[in-house]
Amino acid sequence: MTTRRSEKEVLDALLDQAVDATFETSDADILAEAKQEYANPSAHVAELRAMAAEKMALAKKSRLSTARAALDAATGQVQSMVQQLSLPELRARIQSLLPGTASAEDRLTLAFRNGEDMSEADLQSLLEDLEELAQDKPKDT
Amino acid sequence: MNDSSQAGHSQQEVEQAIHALSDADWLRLERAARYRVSGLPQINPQEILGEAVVRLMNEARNWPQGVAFAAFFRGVLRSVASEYRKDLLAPVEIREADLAPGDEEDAPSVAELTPGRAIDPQKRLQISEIMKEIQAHFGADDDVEAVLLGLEAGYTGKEIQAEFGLSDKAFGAARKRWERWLAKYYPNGIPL
Repeated sequence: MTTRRSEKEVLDALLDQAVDATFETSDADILAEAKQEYANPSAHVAELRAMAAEKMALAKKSRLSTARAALDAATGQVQSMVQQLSLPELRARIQSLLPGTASAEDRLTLAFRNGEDMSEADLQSLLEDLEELAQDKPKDT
Repeated sequence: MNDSSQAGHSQQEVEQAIHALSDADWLRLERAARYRVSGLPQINPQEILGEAVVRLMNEARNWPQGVAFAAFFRGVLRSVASEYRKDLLAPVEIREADLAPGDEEDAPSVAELTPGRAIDPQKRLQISEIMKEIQAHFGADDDVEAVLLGLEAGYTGKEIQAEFGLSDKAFGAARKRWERWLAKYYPNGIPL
C-alpha cells in the first residue's frame, strides 16, 4: 500500500536517493568529481580530517570533565555525610565498613581501648577513605 | 548469553575508525552532509559533520558490531541533520493573507497550517518551482522520470525498479545522474 507524496516529501526522498548514489559512487569516481570541484582535493580532505581531529579531542576532553565532575560530586557527598556524624556514629560506621576479619576489628578496638585513639578529624578522614573503598569494591552477586 | 552483535564499540575504536576513513570516504560524507543541510541555510555542512563526529565519539557503544563504520557515520549524520532541522525550523506563523483565495483544492489544509508542520506558501511555491525544474531537466530521461514518478507514488527503490522494469544497474545510473545534477545546480542542498 503506497501513499502519494507531497512535493516536499518527493524532494526529501530525492535527497535520500542522492545520498544513496553518493555512497554507491566508486572511490575513483568520487575523487575525479572532487577534482572538478576543488583546486586541491587532498588539501580539502586534510581540512576535514583536521576538523574531525579537533572535534574528537573536544569530545574526549568533555568526557573527562564529565567523569571528573561525577567523581567530585561523589567525594563531596561522602565528605558532607561524614562531617555530620557524631564521634560514636563515626566509630560505629568505621566498624561496619572494616573488612570482616577479627584481627582488623580487634586492632581498632584495641587502639581505642589503649588510648591510642584518633582525633575526630583522623576518624573522619579514615571513614572517608573507607567509604570510597566501599564504593569502589565490586558488588557481590 | 553474550550476544556480540549487540556489544557495540569503544570510543577508542571509533577514533581509530575515523582516522582510517579514506579521502573518498570523507568526500562522500561531506557531500552527504551538504544534501542533509537542505532547508537549513544557516548551517554549514561541516558543522553537522563535526557534530556527527562528536556524537560518534560519545555514542560509540551504539555502533553495532558488523556494521561498516562509514554506514554508521552516514546514519548519525542524518540523525544530526534531522535534529538541527527540528530545533531550527520554528513553527511558521500563518496569516490570513497567506491563504490561497478562491481555489479550495489548492489551498493548504488545516493540518498543513498547524504550527510545527506548516510549510509557508512562499516555500511551497519555491518547492513547486524546483520540482518543475527537475522534471523539465529530466523530461527526456525515462529512467530518472520513472524514479521521480515512483517516489511521488510513495514507492521504495525496489518497488520503483519492479514497477518500471529498471535493472539494478539502470536504477543506480539514474540515481547517479540525478545526484550529479543536484551536485551541480544545488551543491549545498535544496532550499526546502
